[in-house]
This record gives sequence, structure tokens and C-alpha cells, in this order.
Amino acid sequence: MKLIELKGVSKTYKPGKNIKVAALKDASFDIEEGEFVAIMGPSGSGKSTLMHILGLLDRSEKGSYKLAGEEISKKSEKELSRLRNEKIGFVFQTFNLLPRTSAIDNVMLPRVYSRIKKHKKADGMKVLKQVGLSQRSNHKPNELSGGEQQRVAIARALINNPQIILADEPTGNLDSKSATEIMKILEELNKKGVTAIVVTHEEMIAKMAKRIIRIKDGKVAS
Amino acid sequence: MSLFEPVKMAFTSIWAHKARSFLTMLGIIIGVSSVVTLMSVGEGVKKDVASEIEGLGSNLLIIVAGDISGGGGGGFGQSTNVISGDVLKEEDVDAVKGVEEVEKVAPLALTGGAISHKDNQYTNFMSIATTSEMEGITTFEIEKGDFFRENDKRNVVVVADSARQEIFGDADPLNKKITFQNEKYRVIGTLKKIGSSDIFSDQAFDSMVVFPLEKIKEVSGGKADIFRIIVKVGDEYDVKEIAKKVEEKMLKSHNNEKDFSVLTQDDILDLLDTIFSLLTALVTAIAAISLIVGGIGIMNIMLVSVTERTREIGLRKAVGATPVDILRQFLIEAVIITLLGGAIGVLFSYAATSLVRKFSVLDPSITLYAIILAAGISIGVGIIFGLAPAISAARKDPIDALRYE
Repeated sequence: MKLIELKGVSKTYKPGKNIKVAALKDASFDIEEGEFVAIMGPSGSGKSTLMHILGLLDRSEKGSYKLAGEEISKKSEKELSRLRNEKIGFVFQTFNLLPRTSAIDNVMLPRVYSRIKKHKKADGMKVLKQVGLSQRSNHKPNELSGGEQQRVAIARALINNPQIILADEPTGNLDSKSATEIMKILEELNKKGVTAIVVTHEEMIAKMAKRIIRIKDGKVAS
Repeated sequence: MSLFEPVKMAFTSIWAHKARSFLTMLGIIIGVSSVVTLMSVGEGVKKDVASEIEGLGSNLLIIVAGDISGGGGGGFGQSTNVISGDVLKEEDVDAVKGVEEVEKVAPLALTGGAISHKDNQYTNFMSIATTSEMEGITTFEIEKGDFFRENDKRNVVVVADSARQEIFGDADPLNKKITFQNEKYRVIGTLKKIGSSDIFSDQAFDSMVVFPLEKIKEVSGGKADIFRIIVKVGDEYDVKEIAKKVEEKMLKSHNNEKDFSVLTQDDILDLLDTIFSLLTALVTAIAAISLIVGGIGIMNIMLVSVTERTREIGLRKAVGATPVDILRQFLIEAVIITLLGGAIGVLFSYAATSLVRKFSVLDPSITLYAIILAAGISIGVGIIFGLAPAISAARKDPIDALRYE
């Protein structure tokens, strides 16, 4: 089943008056459910824009984007929030954990905005265990290493059982050992059926995925 | 999203910046505590005066110059001739005496001039003139000696307690002589001490020297400036009804021109209530300015907080927060800051009022109304001044917010 269908998606930015930058030109590709895809390209290639559109953080100007068969361009702001909450798990390069907040509370954050009203810590503990951090649930971000922080972020992405994990340069701020660990976790999740999309500019990381979508100057190359 | 989460988040955030949060609250603390304190002091004074008036008994009528009631609401409509002293005349006293339910009618007249005893001159006493009817009405109770006789034209005087103390000290004042308008008067009696405030709403009445009206008229050429007529109604009658009768009689003797007012105790209480409410509202309004200043402080710090937490806002949006969720979070945070400030402010005013109680004669009371008002003000200030920062937070684009360094 096609989870993501992109057809002729374009996006331009206006950094100044009368200046238009085409960040994405006529991008079209599909991603099947359960795939492990790397989106690769040098910086400024438009991969971040693509990632934002895929993650429902931004809207395309032209073309059609169907997520699990549903056309996104017609959705309201509130519906997009709900889809992000329920279908997508984000992992960022800079982790983006809340400071002064314990690992478990960080993991539970998406639940605050969920329709799932039950605020079960057990669910949080379960996903923390999945990333191998159950003993550190009460540690705050500044008491954790970079790799551990990213693992907390992955656990947070998993809390609402998303269909897609969207990781934007997840290893960009990590040493190679931690980077490999993180990628292994993503691999494992993918094996359990979660569709994983990793945006990266590192060939090494991209090769761990099963498929690579290359992007250059806003155009999807392969 | 339930309310519990944003409230918890707000406390976490406030606690994370303890000093900053407290300083931000300070404006609200000062504003709320001054508003509540002033209101309760005003309330205390009002209660104090009201209880004094009620303590005098309800069977009194006071006739004053000028139409104060103008419609009955206790306002100041059409007050003609309030100041001029020649509105009330001796004929009025006789007219009121014609009402059969009336027990006693006594005019009070102001007399001018200094009083001297031996080589000392006293200008601070209030010298008034009245008739023998005044004895036993309100605070005119003889402590020692006698009061005037009917149509007393003797050179005699009765002194109130403070005046007696000042002129004669601990010596026996009876039969001593004082000089007034070049004539010597013999002290025939002293009055009982008068409380902090009485029906004349002035402590000056305790430093009163009282002359016989007939004698004063004789001295000043047959005229007396009557400024009040005090009427005592028999205990068994309805004061309001008698007030109407007295008013009718007065109207007749005034050619149907209502240039006077017949006040019952309730009227006076109403009048006082109006005056005090007005004063309290005025002072409170001035104190409320500090609340606006405090609110601007809140707005400022909330804007800083929104900027500081740009990434957090981006993250929250990415994991599913709607703009309304973000708006609510920051609004609740602002309201909690102001509510905490308000609560501390009320505590401060408790301390302030107990100091006032300890070091003054006033008995301020913090009413439930004042506390509800303080809570309302706090929430209101939080919402008004927290709204702009909250809206700016809610409008942040998640992409820009996540990129923010």
C-alpha cells in the first residue's frame, strides 16, 4: 500500500522582495508502507523543504500530496496538527527535548495533545525500554549524553504509534558510535513495520536505508 | 487538552525562573494589595461611623438647611441654600413642636468669638447655643451640675469634656467664670465624654461650649444662626412617618418651598454610604494605576518568554499542538503569574490592615467582595496583558520555530 504519494509538488520561498527561490521543483515519488528510505542531497538542495512538506509542517504550492490515501492540501490547520500527532513521529538533528524536563515527561509530550486521554506513564516506559533507556527515565536532558538524548527523542516519536518516523539529520550532532546506534534503532523499528524516512547528507548513513531518494537543486534525481 | 497539563507546565516554567517570576509579579502584588487595603480601610471607617450612628438610637430626626435628598436616593441633587444659615428659623422650632408625636425639639445655633478664662484665650472651641430641650438628646448628657432652664437668659455656660479638660484641667469647673464676647458666664454643668464620632460626625463636638440660645439672641440683637434642629420622636412611633409629618409642618412655615431636609438615621446612613463609596472608589481607582503598570510588566516578560521558547513552541506544534493549544498555554501561564501575585497581594493587605488596626483607631475589614475583586482583577490583568504574547506564540511557524537558534 502506498503510504506517501507525491505528484508534481513545488515550493518557492521569498527571502526578500522580488526574490523567489525555488526550493522544490515538481517533485514526484511514492513511498510504500514499511519502507526504509533515505533522502539525500547536499545542503541547500531542498531536502529540508521536502521533509517539512512530508511532515505536514509546511504546505506545497503546487501538486498533490496524499498521506495514507488522504489529500493533504485540503486539510485544515487543526487536522494537520492531529495528523502530525497521530501518524508522524519526528526526530530532529538537535534533539529538541524540553530542558529541565525528565526523559519520561519528554516522551509523554505528544500525549498532551492527543485524543488518547489516558495519561499512562506505562506507555512511555514501554517506548523508553524499546530504545534501551528505561533506567534513565527520570534523568533530565542535561544529564544524558547526545546519543541518549536522541534515543529519548525517538521514544517520544514512538509514543503515539505513528505510521511514519521522519528523521531530519538524526545523527548530525552525534559521534559515529552513537550515530550507528541510532540508525540501528531506526532499522529495528522499520523491521517492526514502521515506515522510516531519514534525511541526511552522509553517504554512510544513507546506505543503511533500503532505498535512497536523491535530491539536487530542488529536483528529485532518482 | 485538559487544563491540568497547561497549569502544570505553567508552574514548571514559573518555577524555572523564580526570581524573574517574582519580580514580574511585584507590580500585581503592589497593585492588588493597595487596592484591597484601601478598600478595607474605607469599609472599616464606614462601618465604624455607621455603628456610631446606629448607637444613638433611631428615634431622632435632624433638620438641616438645603434639600439634600432630592429624590430620595441620598444624592446631592438641587442643594440650594446649604451654606446660608438663615434658612432655619425659630418659627420652625415652634412649628415642629406642633407635631404631637414629637417629644423634644432643640435648635442648634453657631456663635462666634473666642473664649477666655483668667489670662488664657481659646479659639479652638466650638461655641454653640441651644435651649433646655437639648438635654438628654444624643450626647447632651450632663456629667456634673445642671443644664439650662426654660428660656434661660442667665449668663451661664455648659462645657463639653475636652473643653473642660483644656480650660480647667483637673480642677472643679462648676461656678468658675469664663469670658465670651465681653461678658462673663458661669459654668453650671459639664457634658459626658463624646465618642470618636457622633451624629454630628465631628469630634469637635467634644470641645464644645454651650450657651443658652435666649441669652445669645439678646447679645446679638435678637437673631440666632440656627444650623440644625434636632427632633426627638417618642419611642413608640414610626420615625419615618413622623418625619413626613414634620416635613409637612416645616413646608407650611416655609411657604411650601423645600429648602430644608428632614433626615432620619437611615437617611444619614445612606448619605454616608454614598460619600464613602465615592471616596473609596476614587482612591481605589488611583491605586489601580499600579495594576496597569504591573500588567505591562507581565506583557513584557511574557514576550521575552515566548521568544526564548521559540524552539519549544516549534516542537510542540510538530508533535501535534494546535495554535489554540499554544495560545492557551501562554495565556494560562500569564494568568497564573497574576493570580499568584494577587494572592500574595491579598496576604500583604492582611498584614497592612492588621497594622492599621494596631496603630490607629480604625477597624479595617477585608470583605469577601474585596477578595473576589482582587481575584477578578488578577485574572483580568493576566488575560488582557497575556493575550498579545500568547497570540504571537500561537502564530509562530513551526519550521521557523524549530530552526530558531
